Amino acid sequence: MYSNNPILFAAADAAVPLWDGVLDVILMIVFSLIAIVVVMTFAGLSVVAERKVCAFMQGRYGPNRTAIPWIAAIPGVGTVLRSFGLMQLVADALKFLLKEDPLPNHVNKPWYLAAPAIALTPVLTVACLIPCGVIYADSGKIPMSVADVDLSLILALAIGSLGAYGAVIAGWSSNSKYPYFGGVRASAQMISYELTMGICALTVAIWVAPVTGKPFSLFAIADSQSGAMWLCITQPLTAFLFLVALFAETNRLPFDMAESETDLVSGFHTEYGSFKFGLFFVGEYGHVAVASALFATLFLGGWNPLPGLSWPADWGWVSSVLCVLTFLVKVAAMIFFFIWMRWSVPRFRYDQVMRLGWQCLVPLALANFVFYIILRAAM
Amino acid sequence: MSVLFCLFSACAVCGALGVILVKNYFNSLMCMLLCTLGLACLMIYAGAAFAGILMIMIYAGAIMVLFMFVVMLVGDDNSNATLRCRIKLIAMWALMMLFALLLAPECDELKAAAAAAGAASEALSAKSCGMELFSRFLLPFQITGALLLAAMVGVIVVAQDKPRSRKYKRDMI
Repeated sequence: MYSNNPILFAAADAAVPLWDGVLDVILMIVFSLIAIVVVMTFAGLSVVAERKVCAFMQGRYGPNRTAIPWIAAIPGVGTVLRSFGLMQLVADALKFLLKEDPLPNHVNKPWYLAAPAIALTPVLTVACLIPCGVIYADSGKIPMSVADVDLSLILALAIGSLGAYGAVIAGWSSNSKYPYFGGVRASAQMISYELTMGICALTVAIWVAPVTGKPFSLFAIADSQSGAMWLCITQPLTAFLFLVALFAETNRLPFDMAESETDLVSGFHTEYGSFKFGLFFVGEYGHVAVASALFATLFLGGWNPLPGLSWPADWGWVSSVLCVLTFLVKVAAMIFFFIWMRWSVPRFRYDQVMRLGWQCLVPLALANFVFYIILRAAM
Repeated sequence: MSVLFCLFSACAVCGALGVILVKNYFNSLMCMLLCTLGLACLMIYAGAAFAGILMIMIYAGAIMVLFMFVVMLVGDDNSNATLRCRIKLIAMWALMMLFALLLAPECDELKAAAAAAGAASEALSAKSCGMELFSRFLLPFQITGALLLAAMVGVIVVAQDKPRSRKYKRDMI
């Protein structure tokens, strides 16, 4: 799979000039930084969206007064920025940066300091695997993702499964009661729901394998839906189960076990403040954005506007831009769905979460998997 | 040897050493995670991408988290284990010497095998893994699964307290 990859084999293969490898590495770093900036922007905007959508659902206005003096004075633009709460975002970020940074005495310092970074890293890594569009070149379709590997689906799941460590390490190193409970809950919940997620991903892979020949490539899966039915239509139950598992993996309500503030203060990050808490916070919303992108790629047709339709290949770069815009709209819609669910559904009790995961979702996902194997074989 | 190979190998070796040298259970577990990740990266680097990714997914992503779960429940106080630590150290050095003795004559062959594995990167794709598992290794595969299941049931039976009386159950509710 990597035999043609100049980055990994530049040093080993003398036929490739070293400079080519270095240039490729620099380009990759730039692309990764762009991906990180996009995820971070989405994370920031979803914080604002969370406040505004919550306010809308509760019949309030939400943040509409925070203003940066000179910018707010610009007629038109300033008013819009202020009433949409966009300057609240700047205020929040500054608050996290400028607040006093407490370091409690009773914590295990190295792990306590490392935990926020460990929580954020997997999210940003997965973001590099997701194809957000396609470039139509003479040589064929070129995926618009930072790292286009043949096994990107299971690689995304594998790296995503490392996300549990952030919460668990934070909970353990804080060395106090509520974070500890949050960490234990997070580890148990994530392992339980990863199983459902993996089985659903396999169902998708089995379904697209004869069409694409690359069952585990995110690009191939999204591409198999262009001009065809989306997978959420052909596999509604798989999509639903995957979505439920995504809610649990991202620790969003109704699966908000790791930080359920009604019984655990604020769970695994109770002892964190200022910028370290900010990293957890951004990580959570980044996770939501990446999960939305993953769901859009797998089940909502990726960059295709409607089921059975795709942007025409002979439009060149216009088509590529439309692809990316379509994809971003889908991600935004999914983020809205995440927020919508948060303010509509009450939190499960912990035993209910476990029972739902093991006694309902896993058997259902397995039965669904077998059903689609038989259907595929019969077709 | 490339830089990446050295880096991943260093991760794996340092992690493996850390598991036995570090006293605190939690740090030891983290070293094990480092070792697992290093090995997985080595596998991917050698061309066995599928096996490497599965290693991250199953070992680093699930089994190590379970270990961590256990450490969090049991606690990581390992302070009164100095004697056992000394025995462990001696055992470790002995094992390493034995291993080195075992490997020394094979070194060239190992290098050749590694080169061959790198060349035949298709050998460990998802498809070939599946074909092998469900044809040549079908029986061992199924027996291993049954064994693991039996072990799991055994653990539950062993770990269970003696059956609670009906009265106690009513109290619980």
